[in-house]
Amino acid sequence: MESTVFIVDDSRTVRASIEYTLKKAGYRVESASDGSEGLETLKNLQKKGQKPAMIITDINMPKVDGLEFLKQVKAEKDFKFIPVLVLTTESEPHMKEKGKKGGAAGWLVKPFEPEQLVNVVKKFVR
Amino acid sequence: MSNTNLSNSYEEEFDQELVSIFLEEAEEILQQLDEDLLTLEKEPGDPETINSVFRALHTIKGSAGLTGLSSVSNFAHLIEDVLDTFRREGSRIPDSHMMVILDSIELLKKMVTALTKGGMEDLQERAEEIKELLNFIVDLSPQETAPSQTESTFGVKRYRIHLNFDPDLFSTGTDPLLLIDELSQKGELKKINVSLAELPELETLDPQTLYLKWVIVLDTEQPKEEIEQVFIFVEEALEIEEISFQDDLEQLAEKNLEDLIVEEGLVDSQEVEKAKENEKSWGDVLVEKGKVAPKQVENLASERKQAQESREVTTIRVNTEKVEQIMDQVAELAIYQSRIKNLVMDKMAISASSDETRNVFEEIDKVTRQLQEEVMGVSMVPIGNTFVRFQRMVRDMAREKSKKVDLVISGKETELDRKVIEQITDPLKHMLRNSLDHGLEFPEERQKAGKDPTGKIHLKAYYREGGIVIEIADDGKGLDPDKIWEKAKEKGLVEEGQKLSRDEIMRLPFQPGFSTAEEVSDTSGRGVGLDVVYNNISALRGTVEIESEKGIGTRFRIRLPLTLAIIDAILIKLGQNQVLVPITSIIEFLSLSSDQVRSVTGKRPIVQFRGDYIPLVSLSEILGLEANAQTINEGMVIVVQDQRRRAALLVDEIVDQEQVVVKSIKENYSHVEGVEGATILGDGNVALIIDVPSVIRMGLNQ
Repeated sequence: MESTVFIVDDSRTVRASIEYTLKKAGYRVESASDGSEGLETLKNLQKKGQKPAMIITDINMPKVDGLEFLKQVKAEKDFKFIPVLVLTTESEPHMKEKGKKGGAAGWLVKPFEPEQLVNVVKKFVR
Repeated sequence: MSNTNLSNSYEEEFDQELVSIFLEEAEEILQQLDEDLLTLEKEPGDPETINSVFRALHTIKGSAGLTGLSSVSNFAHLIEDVLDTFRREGSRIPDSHMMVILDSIELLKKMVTALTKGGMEDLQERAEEIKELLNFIVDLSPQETAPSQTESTFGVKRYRIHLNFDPDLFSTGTDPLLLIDELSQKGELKKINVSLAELPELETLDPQTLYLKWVIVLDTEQPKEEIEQVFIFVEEALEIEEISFQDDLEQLAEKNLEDLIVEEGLVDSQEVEKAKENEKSWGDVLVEKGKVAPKQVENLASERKQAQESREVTTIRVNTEKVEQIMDQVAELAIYQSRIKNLVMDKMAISASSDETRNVFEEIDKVTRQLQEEVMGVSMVPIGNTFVRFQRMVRDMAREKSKKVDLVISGKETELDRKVIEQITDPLKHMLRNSLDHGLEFPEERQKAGKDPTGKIHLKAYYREGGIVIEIADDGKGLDPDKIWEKAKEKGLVEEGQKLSRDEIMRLPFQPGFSTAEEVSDTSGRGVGLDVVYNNISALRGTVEIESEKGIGTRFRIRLPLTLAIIDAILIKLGQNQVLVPITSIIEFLSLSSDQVRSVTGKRPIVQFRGDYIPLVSLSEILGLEANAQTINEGMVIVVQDQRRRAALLVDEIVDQEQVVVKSIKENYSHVEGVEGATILGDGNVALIIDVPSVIRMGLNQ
């Protein structure tokens, strides 16, 4: 069965483009629009036996932002070993470090090319 | 500006879909922005509103960028940067600046609208104005961009990559094996060493901790940045050093196992030190404690041995011409040394100090000989490197021919003259192809014959009788003498009714125009047959013979001199002249009487030799030299052979066996038929060295 990648981003455009690219590369994709919805969805997926193999999250989000969401994921014993990729922008280089300190496995700077995205996902998901 | 500046990687239909998703989203965001801007006009510094504006711009930037709408994305980025500067500094935005920001957001809205309604071009001018203004507010001089890729590099490089991951790596969800997997796609992983030194006993092992460290040797054509890219998220764990191929081998060959085990990353030096405190061998201690796996040490030791065998002996590079010059000079030195010894000893024959003088001369003799041997040794290289290269060739060829073969190599360390190696490489290649093509059967055939479907070709080198022997032996179908005979007849090389011994039949494949291949094949056919191989080997003063057993296999045995510079020869006399006959061509010396010679008028005389009749050739006539012995009763006969023919050479006298340095006369004079070269003898006289194959040919044409 193909691996699931879970996307958390408040931008529909970002979600749609990531979803499109990853589906084409053979992954299942689930998504949520912010951090609080993110954790909720994760738990539901876990119940359905569809625990994602990887999480991609935006940092700048309303309500629960990406770093907070990351913290929550890493605090859950069921989820802590899921690699989390944070989406940053060129204007916030410090976010890479913050993400890393928070336990993120890596980062991707927006905007990115579809191949870049797939290459990064491949680093973490078989 | 254009609204179709889309990323090529997306398909057209998706672009459209994505653009409409973006527009829908952008509309909502812009609505929110409108509200925020109204608030800001009333309360210019409200941090919460600024954050909201910031986020809106951020989203537009990101989404527009992903949709390929770079003009919108870039503009949003610019405004975001300006806002970010104030936000980070925590300073209140001055009213004048606020005006520019509001204007720019207004323009951004227009740009988004223009995406559907058109008119982007008209906004261009205004956009430039605002960009300038924004730049004026905040110094947005371009951020340090990522360094551009260093100049492209060609050719394969070797890197040693140390991976010292954080023991906590698993908690980020990173699987090191996936990264190593990714690395393997960047080039060829030559070596992967895993350090087990920190791996605890099973009871205390925490499965969520990473205890392993890796040292990987990678050969790649890609720049170093590509390697760094693989480990971009764990860059602190990465250490890359470029190493030269030679260094790697040198290191393996020269270092002791103790240093190697540390450097190859199996354990660290402290572990080794600790292990050494123990009374047992440190290696055993490390293995016992599970710090290293016995296999790892074994592998390392065998790699080291291989490196020692195969590394080039040269530590400095010297032009071969220089070495040759030195060799020549040393040879001259030996000659003059021997001359002066003769002269002095003659004069001092009865003198009391002659013993002492003789001793000194003997010392000089010894030293000169040693010097000569050592200089000769300088140009000797092991044949191993050449052999190893064949391994790949044979493998590739076997695949192409759908055959299965193991090339078994031995005697890699056998040394011979670099020049000989250079010139024997092609003939060897050809013979290996020949063995694979015509010797070995297809796997099914082999199976039917009860053989291992994988054939074997043994390639080996060894010293024998002051020279080197190279053997190529296959376990294939063997040569069928009847087939060879038929083929030779077909090609007009032999005549019906002619009687040839089995040995002679086996030599037929070396005749020009003979090919055992039933059809010309790409690899060993093409008209180039074993005769060319034979000629190449002869040119090196070597010989080649075939042994073959039908159904069992074929063995080619090539004998070569260790060096081309020195030749073992028999010194003979023809009148006042001294001539040398290379020893490799001589079968026998005979003393014959004239009744053993048969001559028929109009035909050249023949003598009986081992049940065969061979032509009697006067060497003096061929070389145009005066000789004393006019009849066979007065002289001696030397039976010589080349690959195909034999002849009896009539000479005056056989003097001695000599080891002489060959001097080319071609370089100083011109090519003389029947003469291979010349040498200066110990007494200072010059002696010609005859070229046996051409002497035989000339004799037969007389």
